[in-house]
Amino acid sequence: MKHLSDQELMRIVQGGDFSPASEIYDRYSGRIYNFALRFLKSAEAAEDATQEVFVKMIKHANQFQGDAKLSTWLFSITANWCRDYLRKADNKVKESEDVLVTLPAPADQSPDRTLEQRENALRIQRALQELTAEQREAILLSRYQGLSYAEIAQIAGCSEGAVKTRVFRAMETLKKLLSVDARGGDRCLNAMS
Amino acid sequence: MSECHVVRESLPLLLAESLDPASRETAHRHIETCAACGEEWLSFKDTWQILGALPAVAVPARARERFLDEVMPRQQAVVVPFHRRPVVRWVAQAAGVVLVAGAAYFTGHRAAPLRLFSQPATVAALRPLVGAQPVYSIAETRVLPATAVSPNIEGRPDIQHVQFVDADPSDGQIGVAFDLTSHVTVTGSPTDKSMVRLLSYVLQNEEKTSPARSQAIDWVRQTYSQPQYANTEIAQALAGILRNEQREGVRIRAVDTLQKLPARVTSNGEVTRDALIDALKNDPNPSVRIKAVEALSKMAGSGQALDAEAVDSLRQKVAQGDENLYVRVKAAEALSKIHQQ
Amino acid sequence: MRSPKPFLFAAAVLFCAVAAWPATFSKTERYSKDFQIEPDGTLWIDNPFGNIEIIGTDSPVITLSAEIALRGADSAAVKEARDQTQIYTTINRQTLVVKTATPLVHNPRWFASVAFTARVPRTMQVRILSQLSDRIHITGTTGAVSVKNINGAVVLDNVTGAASVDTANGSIYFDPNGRLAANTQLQTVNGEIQVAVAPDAAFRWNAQTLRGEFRSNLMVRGSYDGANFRGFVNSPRGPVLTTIAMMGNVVIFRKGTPIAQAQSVRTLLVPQGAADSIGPVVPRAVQRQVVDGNFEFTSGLGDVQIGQVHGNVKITTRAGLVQLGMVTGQCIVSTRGGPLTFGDMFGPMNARTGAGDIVVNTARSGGTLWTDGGMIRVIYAAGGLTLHSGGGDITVRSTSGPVYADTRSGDVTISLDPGVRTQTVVAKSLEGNVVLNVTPHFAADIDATILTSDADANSIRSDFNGLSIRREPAGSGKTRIRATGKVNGGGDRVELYATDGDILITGEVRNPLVSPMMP
Repeated sequence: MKHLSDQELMRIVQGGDFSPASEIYDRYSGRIYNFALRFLKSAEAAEDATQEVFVKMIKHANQFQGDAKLSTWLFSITANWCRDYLRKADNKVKESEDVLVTLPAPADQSPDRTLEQRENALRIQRALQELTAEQREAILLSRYQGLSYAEIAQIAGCSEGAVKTRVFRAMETLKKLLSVDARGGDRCLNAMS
Repeated sequence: MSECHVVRESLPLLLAESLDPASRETAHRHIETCAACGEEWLSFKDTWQILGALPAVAVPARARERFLDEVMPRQQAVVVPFHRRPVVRWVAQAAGVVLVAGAAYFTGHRAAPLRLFSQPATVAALRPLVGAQPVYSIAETRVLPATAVSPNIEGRPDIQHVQFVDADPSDGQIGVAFDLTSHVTVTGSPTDKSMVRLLSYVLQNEEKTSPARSQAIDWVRQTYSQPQYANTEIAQALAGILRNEQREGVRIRAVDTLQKLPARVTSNGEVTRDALIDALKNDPNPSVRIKAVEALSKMAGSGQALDAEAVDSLRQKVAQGDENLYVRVKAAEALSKIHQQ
Repeated sequence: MRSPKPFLFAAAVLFCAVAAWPATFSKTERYSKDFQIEPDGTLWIDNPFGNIEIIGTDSPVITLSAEIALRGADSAAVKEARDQTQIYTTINRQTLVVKTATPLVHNPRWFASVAFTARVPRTMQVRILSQLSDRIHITGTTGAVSVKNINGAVVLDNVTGAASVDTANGSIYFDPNGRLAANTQLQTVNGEIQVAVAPDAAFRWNAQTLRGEFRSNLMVRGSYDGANFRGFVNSPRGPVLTTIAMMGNVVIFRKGTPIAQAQSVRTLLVPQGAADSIGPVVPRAVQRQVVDGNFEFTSGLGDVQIGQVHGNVKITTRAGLVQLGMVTGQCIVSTRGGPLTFGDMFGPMNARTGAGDIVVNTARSGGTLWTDGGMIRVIYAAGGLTLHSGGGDITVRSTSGPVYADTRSGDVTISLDPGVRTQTVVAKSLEGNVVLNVTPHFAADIDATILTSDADANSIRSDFNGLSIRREPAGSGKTRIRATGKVNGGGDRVELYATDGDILITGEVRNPLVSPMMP
């Protein structure tokens, strides 16, 4: 099925044959998962989001317009899921979740370099959490998913102008939080040996 | 709005290389001439680059399995819906079926699904075998290779007089013969998707087929308990019977067959595992519980996946004072299989 | 929200698979971090694979160290292991949660485990959730302790707070610093329990086992109620120690003394005259090739497997399977649960089980087979058979004797030996089909009845002419369909009955089934 386009795969699904499910999952699950992970800062929630987005894709395959971009449609479902998740009061406590060890330690790097990379990743993740959900959604889709403002507007349910403003504001905030001068802060962990 | 503001709002687009050529040119010219915007551009560039240091995280492998587990049973449910045995069974509904799958067969493609439409038919309650004419009309007899039939069964056909055909057990081919308005025999490998679907359909739609479901289970056991034909969909169909069938005798056959299937099949997906756990917890027939715990034990012993709920169910079963002692001991043995690995 | 389910067994196998590689790549990373929460707060550790050590200290700080051990078939596998293993912490004023996230089903080329060591304020509460490890060790704490795991020993050493341990296969070692100060519940399915206390420790003791034994070298009093023991050590007052070791032993012994000194509690109870009460089930199992002469056996819990018995057999168990290859004499077997399998039985049989299938290869003198739930299958019988199932199919492949068979649910299929011209058959299913296979020459007075709630669905079908059919309402929306008459001039009584099922009487030419022999 690898040679089939997204639209062709979806047409098969719409016909009641779900065998392309795994192929579509393999194409998009990484992007969906990472978007949700950055948006929600919870691996568990990101996994649930990924699961439910793809199940929804199968369940509501007929809602997919044949000429639309599948990625846009999937990100729309994902963004909705994430917004719902954040709306639920009980999920807000997860904001306190911290990551002690998240990143791999490549064998070819010194422990210091590894540690630096981990800290950078942590700093970015924390900075992203300082944004409003709307800004975070916009910057994640723009910076990490390479979506156009028109697509983001469709996903976020707003105008392109609003997207432009959100991304700009997000960048302004991130610039302050991530500038070289702002680096430092608590080290999350200490290498022992 | 000042030109500076317009340019600054466009900086992210510039970074993403998404500006149209004319706007890009305008923006670059402005940045070169406006010191404040130039500085903003550099700091945005730096930030944009830093953001790129956030690495992509791999999706946990279990997520894929979880998704496919959930989708595949759903697919099965859509294509071949399972219904509890109705109060008034299929014969009373007097439905017959016309097979119009010929197109797929005669053109040699399997793209077209097996299309089946209902039309009235009658069946007498008392049907002597000797000297009696069958109440259905055999317009013709067709033999369809399973490879020529789409695995998608449309509608809920009233398949009657189902017979399992295995003329030569050594040739790796089986057949399922049944009556619609034609007498149809579908032949092929037990692993062919269409064959699996057809058998799953027969297993799960007893009210639409005859003879009895228990007989169909026996056919399935004969073939699919052989390791080379192990099939998850068949296991799931049996699990559906175990969960939904009201007659204990049929449930025993279903779980007995499940227990004989290779463990990798029964543990592939939560449907079968959950049905076994439910049977172990709740089935009133002690023999069903014994066979369910033995199936779980076999899964554990072969290193196949059991979830935490299964483990907890086994623990509870061991501790359940009013349970048959043999079932409790078997549950403990199942738990100990983890230890032996 | 759905949480992913951990897959334990698969992980265990992965562990073995990795361990089996001839050249294994490995890597270890160590991390440490200090945390501070309220001294009476709770530390939660959820770590699927790896040892956990908790040490109570006087410091107000929690020092958590983690050692991530990665093993793989090659360096790429080790890298993947690292990618997929994360440790999360969540903290608030009262609670520190430490969770290892690692996929439990993953590429079999790698395995990752995390060993934690936590130095904690001794007053803290500790809760541990684990799956596979060698050991979980908690020492020097006074707060409540709770541990749940699948595999791995649980050692509570100098733990004086209320403790709760629940393990599937691990053994539990508990030392409450001499004296038990709080209620404690220790529970294992397949492991053992050892509790070391001071000679004058005083507490109430409740215990349960299915296959194990209670032992002690302290003063124990109490009584048994089936598999349960309720009593006390030294004094009938004090906290309660509950020990449940379903398949293993429980030993409570004086700290510093050899554990071998501990005696069976039943022996210790002799002074109170309680030894005669029903003790825990005494497990015995028998496996023999040949028994010359009669064989009589009674066991609470145990399997019996014997190749040949040249004599009579009488077996009674509370639970266990019974397999007998050949018995030349009478065979009486009774178990409250377990499948029964018989080979070539020369004498009359009487076999009953509370749960499980009964399979008989040859019942030369017939007999009675009874299960409260399970299938009954007789390949060949030459004598009369009485068969009953509380739910399950009954199948007789070939018999020349009369048959009385009934099941609460399931199909009854009886095939008479082709040489039999007439024979008495009574077969009933209250929820299933009844099938009688005979030859075309079979002669009988047939009375076949179906009671059905769907008269169009169920039918009586017969290869024989001469039956007259009646249908009549039977109340409650049911219909009775009855076929009676003489076939081939009439003969012995054949009475078939099915509720909500079909009855089928076939008359086909068949070859006689040669009496099968057990290999």
